[in-house]
Amino acid sequence: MVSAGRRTVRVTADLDRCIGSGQCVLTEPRVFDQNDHDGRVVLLTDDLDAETAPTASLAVETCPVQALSVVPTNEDTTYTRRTTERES
Amino acid sequence: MTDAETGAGAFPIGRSCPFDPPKEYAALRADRPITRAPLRTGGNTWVLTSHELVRRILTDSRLTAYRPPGALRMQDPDELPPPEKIPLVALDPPEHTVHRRMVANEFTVKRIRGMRPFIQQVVDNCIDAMLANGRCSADLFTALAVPVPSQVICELLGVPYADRERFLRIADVLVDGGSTEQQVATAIDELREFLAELVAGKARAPEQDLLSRLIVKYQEADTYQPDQVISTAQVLLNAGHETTTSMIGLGTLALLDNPDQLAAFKANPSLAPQLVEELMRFLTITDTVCFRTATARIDIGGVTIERGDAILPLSAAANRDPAVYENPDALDIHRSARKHIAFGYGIHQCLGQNLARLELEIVFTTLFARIPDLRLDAPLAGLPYKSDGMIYGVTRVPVAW
Repeated sequence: MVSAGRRTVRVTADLDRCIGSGQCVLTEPRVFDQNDHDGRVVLLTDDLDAETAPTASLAVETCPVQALSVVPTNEDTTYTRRTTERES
Repeated sequence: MTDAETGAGAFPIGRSCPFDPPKEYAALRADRPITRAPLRTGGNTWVLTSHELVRRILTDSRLTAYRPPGALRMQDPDELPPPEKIPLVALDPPEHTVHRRMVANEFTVKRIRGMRPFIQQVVDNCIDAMLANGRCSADLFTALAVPVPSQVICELLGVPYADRERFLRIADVLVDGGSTEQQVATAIDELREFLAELVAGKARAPEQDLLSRLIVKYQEADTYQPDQVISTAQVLLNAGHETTTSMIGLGTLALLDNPDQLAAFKANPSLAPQLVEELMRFLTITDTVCFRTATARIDIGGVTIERGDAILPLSAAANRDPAVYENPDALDIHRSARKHIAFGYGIHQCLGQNLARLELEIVFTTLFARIPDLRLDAPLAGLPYKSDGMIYGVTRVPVAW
């Protein structure tokens, strides 16, 4: 649950690691895009909300080179990130 | 050199069931997810079978992806050929990074979706021809599984229409289960010659296709080498033809063999992306392609891999890992199969994966929409499954309607 108007988690991308696979785009196109020059990730927003935080976390997991992370921006975050994906 | 450790015999192991990985994998994954085993061609290899360890090893930078053509392992990491002689699929950083980035923008999600109308047309044409053959039966391998990916590659590479028949004829020999070694060798030479001509033509007069754009990019960076581009074109064909052909054939068989899943898909065709992802996981035709050699010592999973050791991550084992997938041996198109490793993992993860996904989505959606009563016309067990190459497949799929 995210407090309205307060950034509590954000996404970061490591462009040196990124190979432009686009798996993040497939998982959450509201947050991730690819540039047209070498296909590497473009963050449409680094601000995640209650809807995009879980899918962004899945994108972190499916990135083949672990170029993405979701990090808390506040110490006293009220957002609880779902860390387990049930596969069925 | 014994099989005492694994009790599984030498690797790679052939499949005995149409859809499942070798039965030996489950015990290995449960007891010794990283273990030493003999290689069929000589020497030993580390074999990894858990999802976690396979992903971890494939993101380790202390590996080389190189192996000599036709070999299963690299003998000595000090003896790599010069990078300009190595195709993209077997190349290491930093050169790999440079060359992959030159072509990666052609395979973004957005760019690939632009090919939808063309792919749809190709699939429709193939199914039109099947329906018009007057027999209410066909071999789906020759009617659909082979021509769809090869025609898509033609379009991608910008093969002139006048030359497509020649190109397709050569490409077909490479995927035909009945080709002799000599025929394959001849086809490889003919293909190289064909691609060399194609690349030279586009360097002279660039057009609107991947090869032309790639050549121009290299020219603008002042690093254009014709052999480099020819090699990349070969990789795209090799990596994108037989694989997709196998998925179309085996995927159709898997759906026909799982009527509840097929019924759910027919009732809700918007499940196509999930269906494709689950078929990729379930079939993992690329089980043994991620061979690597360690270039330094690696401590992982309780063992120490030494420099020069061969490493065989088994993605089919990883994709059936019960730690990740509930009821992993079941085909379940409602599950989320997104973390599968069928396209590989790490810096070499399949460049064409988004194209493969789109092709398969369109093929399965169109096939079962247009021929909803499609059925298998021969026993599943007796079909010619191809288990001796790098890519698992089936080379005859008799269907009727």
